[in-house]
Amino acid sequence: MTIASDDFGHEFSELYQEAESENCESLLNYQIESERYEIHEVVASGGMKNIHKALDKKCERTVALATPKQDIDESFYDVFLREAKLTARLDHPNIMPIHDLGLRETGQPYFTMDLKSGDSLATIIQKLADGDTTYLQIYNTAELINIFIKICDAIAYAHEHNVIHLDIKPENIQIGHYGEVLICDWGLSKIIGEADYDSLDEALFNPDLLNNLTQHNRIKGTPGYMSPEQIDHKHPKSKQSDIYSLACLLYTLLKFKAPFSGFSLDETLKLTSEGRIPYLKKFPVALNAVINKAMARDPEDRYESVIELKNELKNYTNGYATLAENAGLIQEAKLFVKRNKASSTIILISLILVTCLTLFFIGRLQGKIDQIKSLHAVSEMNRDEAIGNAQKAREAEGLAEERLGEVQKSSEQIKKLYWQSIRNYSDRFVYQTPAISMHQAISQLNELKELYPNDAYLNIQLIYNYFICQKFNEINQLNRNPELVSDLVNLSEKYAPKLKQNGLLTPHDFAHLIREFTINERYNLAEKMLSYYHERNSHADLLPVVTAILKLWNPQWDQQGLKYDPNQHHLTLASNDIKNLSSPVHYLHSKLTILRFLKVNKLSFYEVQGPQIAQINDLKIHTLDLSSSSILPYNELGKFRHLEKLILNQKQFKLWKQMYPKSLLKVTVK
Amino acid sequence: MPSNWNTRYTLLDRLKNDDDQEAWEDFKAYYDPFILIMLSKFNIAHDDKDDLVQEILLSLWKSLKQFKPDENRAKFRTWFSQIIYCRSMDFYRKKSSSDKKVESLTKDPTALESFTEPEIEKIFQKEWEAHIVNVALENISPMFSGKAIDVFKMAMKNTETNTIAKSFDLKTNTVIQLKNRVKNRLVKEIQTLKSERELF
Repeated sequence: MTIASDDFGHEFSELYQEAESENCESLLNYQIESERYEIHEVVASGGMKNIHKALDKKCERTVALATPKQDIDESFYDVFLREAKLTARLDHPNIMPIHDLGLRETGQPYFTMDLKSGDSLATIIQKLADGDTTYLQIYNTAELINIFIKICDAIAYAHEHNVIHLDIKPENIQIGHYGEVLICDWGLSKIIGEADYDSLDEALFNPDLLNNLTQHNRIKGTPGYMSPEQIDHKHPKSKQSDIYSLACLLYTLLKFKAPFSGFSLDETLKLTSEGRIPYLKKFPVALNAVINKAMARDPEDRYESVIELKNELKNYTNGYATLAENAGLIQEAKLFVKRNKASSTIILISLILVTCLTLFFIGRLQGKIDQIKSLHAVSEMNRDEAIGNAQKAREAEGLAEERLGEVQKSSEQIKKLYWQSIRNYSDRFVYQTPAISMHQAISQLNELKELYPNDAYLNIQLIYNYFICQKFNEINQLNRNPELVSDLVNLSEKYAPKLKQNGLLTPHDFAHLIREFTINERYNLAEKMLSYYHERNSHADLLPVVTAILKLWNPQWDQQGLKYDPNQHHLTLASNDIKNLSSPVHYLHSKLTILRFLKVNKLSFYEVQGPQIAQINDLKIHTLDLSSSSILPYNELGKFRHLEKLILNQKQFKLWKQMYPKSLLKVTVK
Repeated sequence: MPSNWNTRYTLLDRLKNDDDQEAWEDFKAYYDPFILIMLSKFNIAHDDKDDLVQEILLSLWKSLKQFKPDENRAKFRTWFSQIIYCRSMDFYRKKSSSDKKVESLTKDPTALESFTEPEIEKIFQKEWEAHIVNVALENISPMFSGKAIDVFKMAMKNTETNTIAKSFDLKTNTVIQLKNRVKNRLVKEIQTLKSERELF
C-alpha cells in the first residue's frame, strides 16, 4: 500500500460510515413493464449482457432481448442503457435496429431487437476454415467482399453520425439467411466530436474504465481486432480505430483466421501495439497494400475515411489499381488487360487478322501488278480489273489503320491513368506529404517521358514539378519548350546559381523569388513550394517567405502590421488588408492557412475587422487575443482544438457569455 | 453494523473448522496488514513485528474458535484491540524475562503501558476505519481508469469541479458523474469489506 493511499483512508474515513446510494439515476426515466415479455433461453452472451429469446406478447412476435448479466454491478447499468440509446439513433439497413427499452421487474434494464435467423460471421468463418463445402459454395471470396463492403457502408454511416463502434469483429456481425448483413453490439461505441449528449464523454465511457473489464478485471476486448491506440492510448480513439478493425476483419475474411491468431493474448497485444501487420501470402498485392495501409501503426497513416477504404476495395474488385498499391505503368497495363479481357482479346485477334489480310492483299496485289505489267503491253482490257484490285488494297489499308487506332486508344487510357496519379501527387498530396509526393510525381513523369519523349505537355509538367522542389538545375538541363511556363524557366535560370549546398534557396532568396511571380496561377505553386521547403528545411526562419506569399495573395497589402516573435511564438496581425490567409485560388488548394508554417502559440489581432477566423482554425494556437480587434467571438472558435486561453474585451466577453455560458475555455477580459 | 448475517456466520463457521486451510489463509490476508499498522502505532520495534503478528493471529483464531455469536456481547473492536494489546504486552514481558539485555526494549513496553484501554479502542477504531477505506479504494481501482480515480480523489479534497475538469480536460458534468460513480462503488465496497471482516 502506498503512503498516498494511506493518507486517503485517514483523510476520508467518514466514507466508512456512509450508506449505499440508490440505483443509478438514469433508470428513473423508465417504468417497469413486466407483463410484456416472456423471457426464454439465452441465445447469446456478450461481455456484460445476455441476449435472450423472448416473446413480445403485445406484438405477438419473437424478439431478442438483451439484459445485463446477473452479476453485473448496478453502476454499470447506464452504460448498458447508453448502448441501447446510441444504437437506436442509428437507422441503417446494416445496423441492428432497437425496438424497445425498459426495466424488468428485477429492476434490470433491457432492450429488444430483431431476432434474426442466420449465423454470426464468426460461425461462417469457422465453417469456412473447417472446409465446409456448403459454406464454401455460398460464401466465395466475391460474396465475402460484398459482405465486407456492406459492413463498410454501415460503419461509414455511423461515422457520419460521429459514432465509432470500437469493437468490430466477426462475432458482432450477423448474416441472415437471405444475405442480410447486420452489425450488432455497440457496447463499446463512442461518440466523437461535438455530440448532442453532454454527458457522453471520453473518460466516462472509456472502455477500459468499464467495458473491457469484467468484474474480475480481465481485458475483454478482442485481441487481433483492436487497434494499437485502443491498447496503448498513444492516440485518441477515432474513426481510424474502426478502419484498423475493418482491415483486421478483411484479413479474417480472406484468410479464415484472425490476424495474429495462434499468439497468446499478451503477445497479440504486444504485436498490435508495435504496429506489426500480418502478411497475406498468395494474395493479390493490391489487397495486401490495402490491409497494410488500413492497419498502419499511426492512425494518420491509415485511410481518411471508411468510404475511401471501401472505394479502394471496389477498385480492386473492378480491376483498377488501388491507391495504396502505388502501381507502376506495367501493373496498370496488366490490370487494364485483366479487366478488359474481352476487348483486349478482340484487339489482339483483329491485329493478327489485319496483318495477315494486308500481307495477303499486298501479295495478291503484287501478283496482279506483275500480271498487269505483263499484259499491259498486250492489252488494256484488264485495266478495269487492276483498278478494282487496287481499290480493295486501299480498303484493307484503311481497315488496318482503324485497328491500329484502337490499340493506340487503349494505351492512351493507360497514359490517362498515369496523369491522374501524377496530378494527385502534385496537386493534392503535396500539401500533406510534399517530399514523397514530389518524388512520386517526378519519377512517374520521367517514366512517361521515356515512352513519350516528344510530349510537350509532359515537359511543362516536369518543369512545374521540378520548380516546386527548387530543382532549377534540372529544369535548365531539360530540352524545353517554355510555353505556359516561360516565367518558371526564366526564374530557374536566374535562381539556379543561388542554390545552397542542400539544393535549396535561403529563405531570403526564396522570398525574393516569390515576389517575382506575376501570374495568378502561381498562387498555389508558391504554397506547394513552401510546403516542400518546410519539410526539407524545417528549422529555417520562414517569416520572409510567408510574408512574400501573403503579399502575393493580398496584392493591396502594404506589408505593414505582421509581427512575429520567434522566441514567444507570438504572431500579431494588425492589418485589414490581409484578407487571404489561405490561398485565394479555390481550386486544388490546400484549404489551410499559410500561417501554419510559422510556429504560432499565441495569436493577437489588432484593429482588425477581418480576416475570417475560419481561414486559420487549423492553427495549433494556445492563446488567442481578440481584445484589440472588432472580431466577434463566434462559433469558429470551437475549431481551435489546442486553444486554452482567449483574451477578449468587455463587449466581446458579454457576447461570449451569452452565447456560450457553459464554455470551459479560460477567458481573460481586458 | 452490517446486516449480512449469512456471510459473517459462514466465515466464523469456517474459522471454527480446524481443517479449513483456506479460511486460515483468508483470515491471515484480512488481518495481517492491519495488525502491522496497529503495531507501528504502539511503536513496536521492526524486528519483532513479524513474530508478534503471528502470535496475535493465532490468539485471535483461538478466541474465535470458542466464539458463540449469541453469548458474546463484546464489540468487535473491543475484542480485537484487546487481543492485540494483551499479546503485545505478553510478548514483551516474556522477552524481557528470558532476555536480560533489555536495552533495546526498554522504551517500547513503557510506551505500550502508557496507553489506557479506551485510548487503545479509540486508536483501533480510527485505524480500522482508515484501513477499510484504503483497502476498498485499492480493490476498486482496477475497475476504473487511473484518471477516474484521480478525479475522484481531487473531488474528495474539495477541489473545485471546474479546476478538476480543466486539469483533466473533461467536462464538468463528466467530473461530477465520474466522482459519483467511483464514490458509489467505493461505498459499496466498504460495506462489503465491513460485513466480511467485522466478524461480529
